[in-house]
Amino acid sequence: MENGKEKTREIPGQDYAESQNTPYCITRRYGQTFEQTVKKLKNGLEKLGFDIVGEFDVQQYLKSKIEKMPKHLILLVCEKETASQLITTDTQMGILFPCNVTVKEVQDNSAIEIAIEDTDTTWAASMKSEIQDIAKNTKATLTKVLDNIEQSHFKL
Amino acid sequence: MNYYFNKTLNEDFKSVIERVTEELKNEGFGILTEIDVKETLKKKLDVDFKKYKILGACNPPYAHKALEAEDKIGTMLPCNVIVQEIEEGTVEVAAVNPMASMQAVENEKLAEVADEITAKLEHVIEKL
Repeated sequence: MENGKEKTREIPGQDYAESQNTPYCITRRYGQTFEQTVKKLKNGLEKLGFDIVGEFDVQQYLKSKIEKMPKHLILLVCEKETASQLITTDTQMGILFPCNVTVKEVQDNSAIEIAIEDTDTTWAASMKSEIQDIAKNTKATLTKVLDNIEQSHFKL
Repeated sequence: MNYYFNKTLNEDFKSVIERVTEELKNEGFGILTEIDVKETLKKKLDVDFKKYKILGACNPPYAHKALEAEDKIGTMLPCNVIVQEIEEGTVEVAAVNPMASMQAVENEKLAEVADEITAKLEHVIEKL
């Protein structure tokens, strides 16, 4: 419906109020509505074998604290084979997963930003080398989701 | 730095979950997400696993402060507390150490929040 407009819309860069140095996540911005982005993200995750095991609506959660809270959703995602491998390799790994994928509005809904947890960094706390290999693979798979959302956008 | 604080208790699984929930509440944490790992692994992979739950705990004023300090920190929220049965009547509780898990974030303001949250979670484990 609004696709024509969205294609020409300029996606703003970061401003100084935002975190600049973020080795713990990989972010990308999209010129789509929040709802469209969430829908495409969920489809994309599902196609790659991820289950969404929890959803945390930050806007709803903090609305009593912040009046103008932008839309902000945290998805907790898990791929069952990977989860099983992690937890059998290091039984405490439940502390560091599932993986978080966040979607939030940037500057009056002018762009939507998706951030995926960089498991290569966030799982480094576990000293086991097998975990580091799983972390690298998980990061590579999750990054594909970001590419797929862009591709499906161009097709429309 | 270890990425968690833990304690082993000689109690049954269910009562430990109740006590952990209560102690978290006393420190201002609500449980936002609960993942039953045993049930999930059985359902999805038909694997038998020990009793194991992941509780996602969050303290609203601190979550607010953390997000103000570092807008992408949502990728590391909520704070996880895991409860697992080592054997019948022996249960281990472990809470994430936010100072360790958030050390990749170079942000002084966030470090202050992480420091305070760390003290609260450590206290939860101590009180069990």
